[in-house]
Amino acid sequence: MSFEPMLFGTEEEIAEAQPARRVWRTAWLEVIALFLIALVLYTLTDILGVLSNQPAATSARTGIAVLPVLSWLLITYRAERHTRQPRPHLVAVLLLGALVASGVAVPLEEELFQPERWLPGLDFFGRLLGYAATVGFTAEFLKYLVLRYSIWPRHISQRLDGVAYGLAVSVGFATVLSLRYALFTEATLAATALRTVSITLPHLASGVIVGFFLAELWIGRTAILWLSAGLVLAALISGAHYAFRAIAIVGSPGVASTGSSPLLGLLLATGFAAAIFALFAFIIASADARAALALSRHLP
Amino acid sequence: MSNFAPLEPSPPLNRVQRWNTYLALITALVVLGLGLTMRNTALTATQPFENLEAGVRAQVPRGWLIDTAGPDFVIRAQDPDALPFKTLLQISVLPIGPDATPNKVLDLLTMERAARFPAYRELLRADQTVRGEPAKRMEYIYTQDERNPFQATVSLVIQGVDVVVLRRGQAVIITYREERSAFADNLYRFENLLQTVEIF
Repeated sequence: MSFEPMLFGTEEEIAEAQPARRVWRTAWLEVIALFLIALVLYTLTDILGVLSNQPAATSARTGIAVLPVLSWLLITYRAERHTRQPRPHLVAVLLLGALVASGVAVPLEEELFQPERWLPGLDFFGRLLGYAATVGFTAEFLKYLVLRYSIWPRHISQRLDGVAYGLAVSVGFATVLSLRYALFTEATLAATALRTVSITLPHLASGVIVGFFLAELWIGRTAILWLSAGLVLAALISGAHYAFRAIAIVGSPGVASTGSSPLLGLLLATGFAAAIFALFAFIIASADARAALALSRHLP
Repeated sequence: MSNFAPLEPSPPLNRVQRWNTYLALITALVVLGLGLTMRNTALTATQPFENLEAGVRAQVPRGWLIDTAGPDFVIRAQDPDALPFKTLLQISVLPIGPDATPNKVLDLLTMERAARFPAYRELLRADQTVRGEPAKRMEYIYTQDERNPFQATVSLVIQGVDVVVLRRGQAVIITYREERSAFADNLYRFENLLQTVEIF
């Protein structure tokens, strides 16, 4: 197998060198699909008035809440099944993510952390750090535990494996949180979609970080605090989203509006996911290129 | 092939990978401890209140709406973020005669409130001390209806507690009221107030 630059290689040569599926294209497709669904429902409800602005039926809200997992199955998992070397246990990882969210994260948030009781009264940095150190870190640590004690390191052979599994566990985790909102909140379809997307996309972003740091721990040469730094970084990203969201969706009340701007919340969640995806795609591509170059220098 | 085939043993980890795992656990403990400390600090944060004329000094929750201009209280603090009922802490001073006892003051409050609050009912009365001084504690319950007829909501059940301390011809009444389902959760704010209140 050659590690020379593959820019001019044939598709077969590239597939030979990269037998496992690349994850970014399907991840971007999922983000775009969720963004568009939420945008269309918001437009039909709040701008055009085509859909009712009364609370939707529980079944309809549930259907919206499971859209992330449906889009993951249709886009990512379907693509995975059509590769020569599909990554094993992706569905199991997704289910484990849902299980730890339902069994550990949600009870901890509701009974112990109770962020709605104390975070709104803090300033921007207080909200960022407070959310990151409680709800955010718990979520990322649970995702880490799922990955660490299921597929790691047996099924990690490249950095993108970590990203793929990180995205899978995040989809399962976020779906439970979306379902909790859909089942227990009397909301319109558009509000449910906006909330589902604003829950899911930041989790996908932080899942990429956790997955990358775990994969790098197995593949690369890392420092002794590498994993801790990754978990803290992922938690800070979720805390930053929470803090910015409070600014974004609560605008200035005026004569013609209530001051709530859900569209900004949607753009913020999408922007967060897009920025993290772009950043880590670049980091991973650079790290892979450096590794390939180093290996080629050692080959006769 | 069975899906439950035994897994291959995991490849051995090197020293850095093992230490990363241990330190991740330690980081989790440290960060969550920090988070819980932040939470407790935020929930119990207070600001000082002092009224020299009434002779009352206390610590009230920070960020709450403070009203000191009422005719029948020295201070009223309400949580602006609480829904559906704004959690209330209040200190009132009531002039009393020489024969007054804490029980008589509570009887007076009960009679006055029974006429004012729908479905008012006393739950319990007990002795307690406030910073070493004898006091009487009364818990009660009543319903509160939405006054705006266009907001069709069910009545709220409000639970309250008064602690009465007598002092040189005056009764100091320290009150806490909360929507019943959140009463126990926020009772610590009242207990904090009782621990910090100074009557001089």
